Amino acid sequence: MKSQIHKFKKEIQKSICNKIILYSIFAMLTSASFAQTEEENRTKNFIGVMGGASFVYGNLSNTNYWKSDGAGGVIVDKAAGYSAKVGSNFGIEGAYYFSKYVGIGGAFSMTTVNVGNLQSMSSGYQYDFDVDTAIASSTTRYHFYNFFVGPYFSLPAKKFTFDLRILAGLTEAYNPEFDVNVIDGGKPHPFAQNVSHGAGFGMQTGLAVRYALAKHFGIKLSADYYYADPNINITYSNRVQQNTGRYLTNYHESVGMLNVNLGLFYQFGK
Amino acid sequence: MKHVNKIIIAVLVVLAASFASCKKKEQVVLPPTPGNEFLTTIKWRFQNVSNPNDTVWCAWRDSTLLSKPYKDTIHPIARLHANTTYSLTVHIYDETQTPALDITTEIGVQRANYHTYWFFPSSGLGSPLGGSKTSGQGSSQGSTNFAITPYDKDTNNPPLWIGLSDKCVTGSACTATCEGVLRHQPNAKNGTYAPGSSDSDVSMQVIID
Repeated sequence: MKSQIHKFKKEIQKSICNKIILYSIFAMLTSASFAQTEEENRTKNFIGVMGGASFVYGNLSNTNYWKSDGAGGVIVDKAAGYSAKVGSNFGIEGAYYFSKYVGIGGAFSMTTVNVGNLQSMSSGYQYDFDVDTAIASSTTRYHFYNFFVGPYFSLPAKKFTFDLRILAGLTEAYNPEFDVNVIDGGKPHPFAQNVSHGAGFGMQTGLAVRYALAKHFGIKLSADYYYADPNINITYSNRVQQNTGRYLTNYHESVGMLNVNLGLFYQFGK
Repeated sequence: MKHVNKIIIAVLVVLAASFASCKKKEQVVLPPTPGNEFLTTIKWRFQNVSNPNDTVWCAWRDSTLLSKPYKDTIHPIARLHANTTYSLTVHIYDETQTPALDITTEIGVQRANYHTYWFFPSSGLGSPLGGSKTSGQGSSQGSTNFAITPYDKDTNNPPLWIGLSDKCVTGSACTATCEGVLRHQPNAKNGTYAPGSSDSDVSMQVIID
């Protein structure tokens, strides 16, 4: 009788052990399977470089020396930035994804815009100072350094990933130096609007499509609306008469651009 | 894999090209030369402060620009009373145009910030009071018998005198000449004579009796 009871206990213990082992294996398999599903479901994190053209619009690329004063006359248009219509931008970006569709990312970029046509600035100073000749020139450019972060909304589809992003942050802007020489009676009277800089809010939002060329590498095409609102305090060198001709104490104009970029990216994960 | 490498290299080239495009040549733009007015005629108007009906005009006209300048304006004369205070105003015209164009306001108001009118009496009108071509400073001009004090100011910061509206105080009887110079001092006007160039330089005879 005792041996039968002992045998029965052993069978129960064996059964329990088997169940524990089975449950453990099942749990491990289930866990691994779940983790693998989560990994596969998330959009892959990436970092990349980008660069391309910046199409400027608004007062930054305004090259009109004069504007109407609303009363039949004209006044100096101090909003005119005299930039070119097209610049370039270059930067790095990256994003980390919490789920299949949503992540957070950031970008550091530099936008450079050359000076545009200075003909009207020359003519304006020539008229304002009533001189024989006025020469306006510049050897420097507009620079915008952007430090942006924000959400990425992505839709992976096989080798493609479609991104919508809204980034915002700080923009540090530098205006170019404008060298002006008013010449009358053979005597030059040069002065310069110095390189100055100022910071302000900046943001960009746009769409991108990424295509994975290999397991980790791919190319990216994007189009972003860029906006910045830097406030730049302007200084001059050798400017004797402040109330004659175009004279700025600060330049606080909204900057708008359309950035069309091509880039490379490296994506993490299996 | 070769195909992938080619694409990556192509993208890198595009990025490098966009970055390299930042290099920029200096841009120099020369404006077209605008049409200028001629300062053909300078008139000095003396109005006796005590007797406004006592007004004296003397006018200089450019014989090289005007086909028929009046003879008495090639060598103009201002005949003034001794020991009298006058309000002196300078008037500038372009008489090559018809009708004659009065550009006094343009120079004295719109373009006042870089124009100055100077008076330099010859030694026959007494000792110099201040302004000179070499060390011209301050607002006291003229000489002891022909003292000029400008009282019009421009909108520079701080305001500087213009010299087209002045107080003129005569002294003892004498006869000499006085040179009037309109200085054009773009981005250079500082209250002295030296900067800039002369737009007009005329001499008129002053007789104080």
